[in-house]
Amino acid sequence: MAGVGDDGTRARAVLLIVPILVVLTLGFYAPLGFFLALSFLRYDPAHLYLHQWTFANYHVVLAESTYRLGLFNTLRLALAVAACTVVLGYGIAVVLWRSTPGWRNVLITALIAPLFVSVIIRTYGWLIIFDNRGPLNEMLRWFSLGPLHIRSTLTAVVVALTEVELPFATLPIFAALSQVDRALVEAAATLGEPPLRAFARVVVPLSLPGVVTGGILAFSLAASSFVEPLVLAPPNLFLLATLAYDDINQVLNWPLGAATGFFLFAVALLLTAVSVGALRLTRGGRMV
Amino acid sequence: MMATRTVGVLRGTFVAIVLLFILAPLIVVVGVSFNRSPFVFFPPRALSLHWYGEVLRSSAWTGPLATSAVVAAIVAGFAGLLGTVSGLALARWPVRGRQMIELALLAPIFIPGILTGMALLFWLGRLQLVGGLAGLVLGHLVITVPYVVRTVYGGMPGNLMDLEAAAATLGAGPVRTFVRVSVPLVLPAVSAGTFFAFLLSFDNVTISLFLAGPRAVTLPVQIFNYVQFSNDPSVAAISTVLMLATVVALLGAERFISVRQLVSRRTLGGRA
Amino acid sequence: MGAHSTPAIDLVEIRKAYGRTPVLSGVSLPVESGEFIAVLGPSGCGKTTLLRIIAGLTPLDAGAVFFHGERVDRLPAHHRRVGFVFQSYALFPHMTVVENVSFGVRHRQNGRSPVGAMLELVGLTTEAHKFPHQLSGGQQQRVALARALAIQPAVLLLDEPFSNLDLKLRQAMRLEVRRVHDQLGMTTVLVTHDQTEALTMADRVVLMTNGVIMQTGTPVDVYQRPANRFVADFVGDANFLSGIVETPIAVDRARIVLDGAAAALEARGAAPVAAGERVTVMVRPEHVSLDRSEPGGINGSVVRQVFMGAVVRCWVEIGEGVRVIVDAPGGGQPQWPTGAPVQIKVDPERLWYLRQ
Repeated sequence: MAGVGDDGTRARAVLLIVPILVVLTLGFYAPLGFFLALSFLRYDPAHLYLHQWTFANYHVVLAESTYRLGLFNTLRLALAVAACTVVLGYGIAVVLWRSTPGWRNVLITALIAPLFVSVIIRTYGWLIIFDNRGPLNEMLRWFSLGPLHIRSTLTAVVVALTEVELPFATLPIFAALSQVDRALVEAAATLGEPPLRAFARVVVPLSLPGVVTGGILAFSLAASSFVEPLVLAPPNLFLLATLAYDDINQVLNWPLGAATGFFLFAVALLLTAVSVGALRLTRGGRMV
Repeated sequence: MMATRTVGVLRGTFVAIVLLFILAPLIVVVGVSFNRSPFVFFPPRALSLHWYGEVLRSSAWTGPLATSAVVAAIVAGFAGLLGTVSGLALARWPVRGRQMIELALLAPIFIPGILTGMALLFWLGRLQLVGGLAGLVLGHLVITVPYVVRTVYGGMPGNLMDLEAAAATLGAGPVRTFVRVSVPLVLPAVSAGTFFAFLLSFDNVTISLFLAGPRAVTLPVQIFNYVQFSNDPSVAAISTVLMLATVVALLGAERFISVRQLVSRRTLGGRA
Repeated sequence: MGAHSTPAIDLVEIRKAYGRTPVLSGVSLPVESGEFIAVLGPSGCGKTTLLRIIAGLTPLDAGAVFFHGERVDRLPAHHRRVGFVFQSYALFPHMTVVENVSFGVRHRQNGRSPVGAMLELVGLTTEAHKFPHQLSGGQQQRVALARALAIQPAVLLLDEPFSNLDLKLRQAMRLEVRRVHDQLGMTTVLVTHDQTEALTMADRVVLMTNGVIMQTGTPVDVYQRPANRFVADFVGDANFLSGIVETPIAVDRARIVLDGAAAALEARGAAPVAAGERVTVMVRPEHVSLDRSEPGGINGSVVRQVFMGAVVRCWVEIGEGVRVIVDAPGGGQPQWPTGAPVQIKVDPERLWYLRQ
């Protein structure tokens, strides 16, 4: 493995990369490729699909009211989660940014510890909390404010997803904030800006790339989530992800499930492209 | 002075609320697990370890627990090996084309898990591999190996090529250089990556929901089924056991690897 | 340089390209046994590639490398027995100082290991069991040197070894490395972009640019008798004045009339020139003196001056837009008011013409 020669090194690098490429081809690229092809094949109840190319599945996804509603709800859900995580995450990131290294370590550890617990366990936790006789409603009743019906609502899903995606939004914002030179704030102060205005005019604009990254991440993860909705959402709340899941598991319309899945991915990609583009435009392409 | 104190109190309150929010679902799960009654009460009305006994005696839980452990161990082994080899390959890849190959290796991180899961299920169906351990292992391997690659590649010393060259000038042949220099230098990152792959596989629901079958049900899938269709504190008990095991594993691993570094890598790139 | 002795290192017509970019275009260089050579040039001139080719870390496209008459360019690095000190030091972070230094030592010499001696040589005996990250930059540098020397290499190769040190430490390490070299008589090749380093440390300096050697010579040679404008410009500060040859005197001497000057001046050069030929005349700032009333000098006026400690650097305008930099002895404060008319005088032994 010594750097005996550039040419030997290159040959060895190619050789070393082959195994993983084989595994990824067998377990990722080929399946996705075939699945993409499937989304363009005609559905047939008897044979799963026929070898006829068609846009019919995407037509269903775009035109049928269930899927339109699914798109609308997915966007609603993902935007709500992105907004909640970014607002909360920005607050946490600022606290982290202003903390001493010791406190920062404690807070970051607390923030990321739940990531090591399976999503299904945390979703179960929220299910308990939102139960009609759960701790939240017990408390509301005690204050004579409840009970509220939260279990099996969109709100429940938003809250659970916010909790799950919070670190994914917070850490990019914190990373962006950490890059901000504190001397800039001091410079603004010497130029006569009071602290809050200096923060708004100097720190906030510089942290925008992190906000966009975190927001996109939270949005994409929320849009494609289906475990939390399956447990916490009401059965009549159509979402693209759960529709795709049902197409495959209940209806057994595989081509339609494939089309729904790729459409969902395309929506997330499109939103990413738009946000990154907007960020570039506002800052003349300098920061991103 | 007053202003600073107000800010401090506000900040403290905010931090407390956020921490409560983050930890609330875990706290209630632990709390519920100590119920004596067959109903889910939080806080529990009477404390008991009854459900722990139930869970550990029931093959409905011990079976999936074993399946999960076996799958995660196999996946971690393969992912660790593959990720290490690929990380080393990336380090010596010519600068031109390195980003392309990096993207090709990390792509599974950026594709929604539901899409990967469905595609794999369809593909394995064609190959007659649905519902067995092999399918689960392949699926978990594909989504965990990118994280190992990234951990290994990101965790190796920046001047690894220089260090290997130095060993060569000091008379060490390729084998000695590999054993005495390359391996010890990437070992911390490799063990961190492997450990991480184990946890990711063990916790995974998204992919497993598609790939698990009657012959192979993982623990998270079993929890999902219980949460959907029945409601007694046994789920809370097994979940608490899982959390405890994870905490113990993390504390044990913390001595060797930086868990935090791991997680920031994971979070900044999305989730499988 | 004995004509019959075999060079310790002999590079013959070395060529190397990365893709279509040529990095070395036919470099030949013999290095005598025990000699200290500095390869000096701007970054990207190919000097590090040359050093890596000597060590066997980079393969060459064409040419040959000989160690003591034996061809080695097909030999992998681990069979060449070269001591290489990397710019990043490349100390193994998972090994202590003594482990690093003994890494390449397989055979004990006369029953005792050279490791202890090497640690003693670089003054690190007390740090032997520390890890690299516990050492200062200068100490890490010493470990890298000791490690390279411990294998008792045929040649010692140093790749920008001092670039990560601060100025004081760099100066100290230069002396130290030279002392070690003198003590061991080790054939040494140093690659650097720092002209002071090259001039102060080396027996011979090799100037490179764009993959080609521009000049090889003693430090005094390259400083006082540069082969061309690149060398004159890269090594030290220089004034370049244009003029016309009035009369050639010898193969390396001519009388030259500088543009705007009344009288001809005698200058020396590397090659013969013809009468009427346009040449560039180089003179170092410290070889020009200033006076109010020196007869036979060139008239000018001081336009700017900067106190630099040992000298006062003056910019003297001697014609439309023609400025000469003069380092006058710094008597504690500036002696020449700005705008004052002065005469500059150059030492004819120090005037050096370059053909254009």
